[in-house]
Amino acid sequence: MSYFEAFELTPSFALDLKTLATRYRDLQTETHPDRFVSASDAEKRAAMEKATEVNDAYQTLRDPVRRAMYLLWLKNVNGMDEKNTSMPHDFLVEQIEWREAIADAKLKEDTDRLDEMNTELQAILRSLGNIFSVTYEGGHLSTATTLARKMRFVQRLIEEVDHAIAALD
Amino acid sequence: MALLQISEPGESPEPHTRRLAVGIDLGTTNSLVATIRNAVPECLPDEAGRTMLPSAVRYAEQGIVDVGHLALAHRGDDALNTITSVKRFMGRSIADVREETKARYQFTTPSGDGKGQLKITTRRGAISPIEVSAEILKTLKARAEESLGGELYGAVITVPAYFDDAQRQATKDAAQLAGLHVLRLLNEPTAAAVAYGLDQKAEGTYLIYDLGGGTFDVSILRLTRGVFEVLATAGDTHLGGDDFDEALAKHAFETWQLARALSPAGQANLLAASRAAKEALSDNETATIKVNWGCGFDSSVDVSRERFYELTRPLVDRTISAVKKTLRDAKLKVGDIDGVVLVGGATRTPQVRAALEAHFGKPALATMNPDEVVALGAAIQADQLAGNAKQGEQHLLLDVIPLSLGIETMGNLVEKIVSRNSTIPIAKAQEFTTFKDGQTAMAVHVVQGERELVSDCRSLARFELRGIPPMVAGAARIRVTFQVDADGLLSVSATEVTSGARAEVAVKPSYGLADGEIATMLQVAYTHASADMQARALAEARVDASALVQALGIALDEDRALLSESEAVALTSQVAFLKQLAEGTDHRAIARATEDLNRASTDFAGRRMDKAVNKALAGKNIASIA
Repeated sequence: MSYFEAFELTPSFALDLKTLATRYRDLQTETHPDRFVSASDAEKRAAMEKATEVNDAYQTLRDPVRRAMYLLWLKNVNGMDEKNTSMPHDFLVEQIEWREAIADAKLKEDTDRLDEMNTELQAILRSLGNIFSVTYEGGHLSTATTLARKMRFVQRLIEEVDHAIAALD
Repeated sequence: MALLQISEPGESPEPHTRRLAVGIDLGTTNSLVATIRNAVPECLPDEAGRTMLPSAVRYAEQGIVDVGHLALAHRGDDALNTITSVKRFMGRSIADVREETKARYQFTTPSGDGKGQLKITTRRGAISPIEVSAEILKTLKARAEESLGGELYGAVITVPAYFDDAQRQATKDAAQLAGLHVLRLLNEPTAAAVAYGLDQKAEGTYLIYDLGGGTFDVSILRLTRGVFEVLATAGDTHLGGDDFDEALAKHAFETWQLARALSPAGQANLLAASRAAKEALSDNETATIKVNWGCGFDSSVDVSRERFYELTRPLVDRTISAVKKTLRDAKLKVGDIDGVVLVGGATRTPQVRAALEAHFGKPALATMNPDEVVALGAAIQADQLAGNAKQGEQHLLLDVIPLSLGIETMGNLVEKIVSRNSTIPIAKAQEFTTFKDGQTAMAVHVVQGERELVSDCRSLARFELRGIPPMVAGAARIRVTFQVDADGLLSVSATEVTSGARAEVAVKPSYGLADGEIATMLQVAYTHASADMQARALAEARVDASALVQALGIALDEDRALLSESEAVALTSQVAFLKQLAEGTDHRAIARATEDLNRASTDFAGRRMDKAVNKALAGKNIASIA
């Protein structure tokens, strides 16, 4: 059973996150180990396994990058394959520029600039997600894979910015 | 045809038999026990009407153990044998003890190398903090059983959200030693949120700021229709009201310029005087720290509130940094927080409230007693876990793991397996392979923490995987699964993927007790008599058997339809067999039959779980169509 099926949702990138959250809570309400404290050991174990599965599915589907990778995986594409590292040249140059900008802002202890970068990167991630959605639905899996990989790069940049902000606090 | 009445899984079949369940706040300075009576949570008082039991244990002469006020009274004259703030030593080694604390007790380790869980040398020999905590828990258990007039079914015990695996395991071990059935280990800020949330019928996003006697936690929770979802947590298990006392004590000591270091007794007196001054400063502009050293010699110093603020500013700043970190982890801004809730006695200090108000631009909520709110929340949770809550009044807690789990890889580096703030229960699997031809065993080192180097993280355990089928190097695929349960505790299992062989996992916890140690402690506690041990083993086996018989009875009543006729007959007869066996006295046979029945009912449990899942989704589809 796919993670989407677990939540009775149609596999798609443009997911209604509110519905996902509601179904997640409903499922946890029925399967959480807290509901089985006085049950048999076998049921306790089954509840822990089920609740674990539900948590895992939720964490995967609510994160845009993991959701994109999962959608590709459902089509037998491994977007995380480390051997396939070819990325468009201009994208890689942009990545280097971002990293330099982050390092620079960190050095200058410019928290405002880091906050701005965070906002910009979030917007880039969202727009990449939108294009991914259309491409994936259209069945252009190879383009979609490149987009998902770009999203992963951008998400890593966001993490780097977050770390820089945390270090300055 | 009359409709059959069916209770919720886990719920007591007879509505009138309430199970006695309590919540216990096992605090650094004070501990409390609470329960639900007449639908209201309340803390249970001792015979003198006091709800707070000082977390102090004294190992007195002639094998007498004093707990609470009685022990605390001897902090000055029998300091080495009077253990206070033992929570700070749970799951900790000597290296973790701070310099200013090292002089208070004589610490030792079983192996003598200073590694692993520390012990404290008293006139009763080397005592583990787990045993000290068990004494506190035993006292609260006795108080509850006397007050409620019966044996306890179980208890929810609270731990700081930021406790790591070793500290949680130590707490659970202490409860087991005290003879308590632990329904759940519950994070303190989450317990407080339950008490507040259900009391105020709150919805929204709340930050719980919990500054206790020795630990600090901050958690952000989202409350939606009875679901309490922890979004992020941070903290410091070595920061609390005790540190405010110590800051004042240090100031006094430096002012007096005493010629020599203080004895353990002198230090205990100075700390007590500092605490009194701190409490006085909540209401007065100045206070005096005064210590009588004996022999007509005393010292005193006046402290203004302003000076006190200055001395403790670094402590308050550390808590605010943790608040910021939690907000970042939850991806929220200050403005997203609907309310800040104060928990823990140390939040009475005015500078703490002022700092929070400055950060959030609004005063924090403190409508419930900050000393009692954690125990009250734990009592509510215990009541529900015991199956006493009515349907429709049930709530759900979704908590997180506070620190990342990882394993050691080449070159002292940590590979993260489970990242912090992941909702529990959670499992992650990792595949390993062999390095040499014919290799049949491998060692895995599990650590907890956020740093990149193994030496900067906390060592949790070393696992040895044995019984790997011999193959050429790199051919074996060993899948190791790290499971964190709803108590936040880690367990590990391993399978060789290509052959399906289950590798054995031998756990060597870095801090907790080794497998046999609890049994040994229990043996000592039960007056060496083997008859008592036998009786206890039989009683435990019977309790387990009857719990299983009851649970399966309910399950069979509800879901017989999920079984084929022959399956149902087989299970029913096995239940009857165990029931009959439990009337006998062979505890080993009872335990074996219980285990067999558990195994035999695994499939049935799985089918029931699938049914629960369908039930969760079924109603929603109709709603979404409408």
